[in-house]
Amino acid sequence: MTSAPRRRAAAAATLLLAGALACATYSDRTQAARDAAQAGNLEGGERAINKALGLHKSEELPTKWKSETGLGLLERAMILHALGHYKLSSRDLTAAEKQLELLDIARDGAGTLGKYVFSDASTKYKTPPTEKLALNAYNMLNYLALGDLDGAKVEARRFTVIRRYYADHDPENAHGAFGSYLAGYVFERLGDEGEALRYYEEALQERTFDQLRAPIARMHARAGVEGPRIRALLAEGTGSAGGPEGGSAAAPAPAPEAELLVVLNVGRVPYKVPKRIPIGAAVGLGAAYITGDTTVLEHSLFKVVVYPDLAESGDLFDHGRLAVDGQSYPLELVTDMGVEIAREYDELRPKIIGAAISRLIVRAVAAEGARAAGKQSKNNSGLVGFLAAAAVEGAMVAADKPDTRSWTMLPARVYVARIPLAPGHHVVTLDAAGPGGREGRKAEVDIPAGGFAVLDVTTLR
Amino acid sequence: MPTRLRAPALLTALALTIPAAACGPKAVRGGPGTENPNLDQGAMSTTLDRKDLQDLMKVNMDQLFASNWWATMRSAPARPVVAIWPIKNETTEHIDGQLDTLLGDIETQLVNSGVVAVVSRERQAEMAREVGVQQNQQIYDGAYAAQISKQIGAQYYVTGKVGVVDEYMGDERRVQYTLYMQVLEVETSLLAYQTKSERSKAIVR
Repeated sequence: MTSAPRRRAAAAATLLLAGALACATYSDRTQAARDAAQAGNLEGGERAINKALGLHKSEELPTKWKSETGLGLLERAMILHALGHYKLSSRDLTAAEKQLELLDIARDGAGTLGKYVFSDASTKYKTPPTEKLALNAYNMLNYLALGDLDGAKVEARRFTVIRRYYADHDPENAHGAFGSYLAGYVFERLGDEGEALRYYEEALQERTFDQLRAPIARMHARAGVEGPRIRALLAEGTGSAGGPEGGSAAAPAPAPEAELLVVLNVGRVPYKVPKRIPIGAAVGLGAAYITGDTTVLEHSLFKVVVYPDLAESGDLFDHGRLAVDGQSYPLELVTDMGVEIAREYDELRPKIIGAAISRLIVRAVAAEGARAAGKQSKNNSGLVGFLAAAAVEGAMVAADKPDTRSWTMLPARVYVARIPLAPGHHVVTLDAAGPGGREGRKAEVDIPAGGFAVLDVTTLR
Repeated sequence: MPTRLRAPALLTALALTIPAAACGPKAVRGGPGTENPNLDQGAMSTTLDRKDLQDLMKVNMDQLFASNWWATMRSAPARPVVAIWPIKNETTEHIDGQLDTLLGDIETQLVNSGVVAVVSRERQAEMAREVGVQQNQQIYDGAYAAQISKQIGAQYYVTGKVGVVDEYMGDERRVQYTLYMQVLEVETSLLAYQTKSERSKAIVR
């Protein structure tokens, strides 16, 4: 082949690759919603995600469920939650959960085949553990914010089914301190102290919560249920549980007359974006999961692998400050889902890169077949073979979109505070703070005697 | 385009549009006496649907009507007064709406039996508000149920709960429901009668 036709063919292949890279992935299609949330424009985020879902307003549910619809609904649910539309958020989470559960269980023959030839995005979306556990936790929070303990209890049980599954089959991923904490709170409010203590024991497996000392000591004295973490917590004493910053108490405090539960959700978890790396580096990263002979790649026109990698969300806030009636109270970190998502993805990265290289091999083999067929041409067989190989490989590369699907609106860090209060009217100020400055919220709550109120602030940035 | 070609082109477009429109989603009517008599037969999820609840209730009501307690009611000199209290949802599904419908069905059967007099549920709710039942969990508190039932002149109250065993595996989810129905004597809080029925639902491959 002369050098001019070869250059033209290479240029065509480059164009095909550029086209492939320009092809929108899930994270591209939901970028407008994240941009709006990042600017503090939650209504704009709601409109953007509705547009991505093909819906006019949040009162509508999809009628056609495609591979990304359930995930899109999770994104909308989180925006609605941040806007305080708890009923709509709950409806979306419930609808999405049912669809995602069906996808988890469904056979995916076409998707599995597509995964080896085209892209991981050909497969049905399998919800990872952190997302699955967060789904029921946030729906529990929706019901709590609505004051519906029965609804929250149902979500607590659903959370338990999933957590138990991971505990039995994938103990490394049996996280979910946030869900366990909230479930404990739900059962505590319902008066089922034994069940509440069992959930608090789960939550304590991941970190210590000073503000749980007093309620646990109180319930333990009556219900007697305990585990190693509860025993350890009680052995340390009741400390300053639930009191204002700087306060202390020697013995478990009596049950408060009224209580405020504050939940602060800041930031968003890392999300997936297409990343290009040279084939050589990719082979090193995904060697254990490559299917096929990598030497065939020597003939490939494409010298880079495109795979989905995690990108930081550029969170403006990473902690918060709370005051009730002018008195400061500490917020306790209950979970860092950003870290959990990153850890889950680090475990999967070699497999994902291995699968991407395996697809390159499949394409290179197909291109070699086309090249061999082209070479049988009577006129200018070298050029025909080269062009046929480039066309086959280029077309297959164009279909390879990195699978960037994930629940991108999931908050990164969750803080809680339990404030024992006198019944009546209270003024709460809650500031989200971090490298992006601060965002202040002020709320007024009325709590009846013996009752509770839940205040949620979700910044999504 | 020349005018004489427009009509065939329009017809072709119409011919293409009609089947396309026919393939879109549409609402249908189902159940006995409709064009889709079996519409309610298929399970759409692991939650309890109307057919499940009707099946569960039928088993429980048949057993109730065949019980010794019911025979005692039949032979009572005056129709005993019965109150109906909510069925507690102890499942992993948001089925409170369905359970409310079930309660309405139980009420209908008891009323139509002519054997017992049934207190209106609206009156019960009114009484509950009067004695200060505010938070939802108190509705299921036996002491409240007995207190209010007594105030409205009931000798017995019917209640129940739906329990669940919900298990999830990588390729299957199975939910086993049990509906318990109880009759309690208001004066003594003793259990006069209890029955149960079971239904399993699953998502399998």
